[in-house]
Amino acid sequence: MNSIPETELVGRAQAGSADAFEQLVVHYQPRLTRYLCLRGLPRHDADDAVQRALIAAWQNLDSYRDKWRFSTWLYTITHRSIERLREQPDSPAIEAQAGDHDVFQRQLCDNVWAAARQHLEPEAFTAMWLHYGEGFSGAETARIMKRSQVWVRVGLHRSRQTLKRLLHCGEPA
Amino acid sequence: MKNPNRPAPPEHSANLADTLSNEAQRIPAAENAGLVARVMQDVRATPNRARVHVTERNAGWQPWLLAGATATVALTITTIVTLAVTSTIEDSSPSNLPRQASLPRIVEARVDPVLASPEQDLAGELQRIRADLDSIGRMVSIRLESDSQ
Repeated sequence: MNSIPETELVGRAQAGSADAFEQLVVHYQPRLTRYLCLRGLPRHDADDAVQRALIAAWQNLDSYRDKWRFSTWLYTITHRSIERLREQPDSPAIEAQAGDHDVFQRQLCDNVWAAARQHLEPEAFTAMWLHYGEGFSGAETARIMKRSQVWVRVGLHRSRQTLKRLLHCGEPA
Repeated sequence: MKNPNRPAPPEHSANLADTLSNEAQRIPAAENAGLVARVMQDVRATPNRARVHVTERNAGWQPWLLAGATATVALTITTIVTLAVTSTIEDSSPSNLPRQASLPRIVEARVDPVLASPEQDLAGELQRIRADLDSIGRMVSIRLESDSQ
């Protein structure tokens, strides 16, 4: 992944190279798992969801177009997988399961993202993480979350205001 | 009471954005070699749909393309061989009949050999009939002369 450009790896994977796809998996698996854990999934469920998302990505590589970055496409699949998980009647209550057992929760305790996680709506937190945490643009964040760019811009602005008040005054407005 | 774990407040929006980005880097990514191995095991056992589609598409048009190319090559070879053989026959067996006029080579080349051949046969046949009629006419005149004497 370090020596071969991502676009070339994606092209090889689209041509059927499992080795090229493995490099993409090695690169993206940790980030995807972290993303799902931050959204409230326990580690075990996050791993399962990432596994399903990566296999779905492999099976649907022909539908990927380079109009968007590969990471945007991959996060879109992962985001939808967690949305589908949320729709299942016997699914774990995401966001409500953020317990002390989760290593991410302990690591977040002195992090600004802990405050964001605690005080922002789940969708607002997700948009903020994708934009500031993962480095996606507003358009890419909107694409991943199936929202409009206006929704993302407004949401990010409100979230920043909330965080600023929280960090300055100790409590959100 | 101030929380000692709370991060320092950012000065303005740009600082907040920087703080969010920097703090995100502090959250470690969750590497899992076992998960990668499980994914790749499934990947190697499952054909890539893109590759399957390409194969299916090739399976659809390749035989037709191959058949078309073969037919075209066969037709071209047949035409060339026919023209070559016809040209050779015409050149090797020149007609005994006198030509009406010497045509330019390019015009001769354009004459359809299939049409030209019956024309030549017909001319020869007419010549033979004329010769027969002449001989019959001479025989009849000789007979009439002998009868009158």
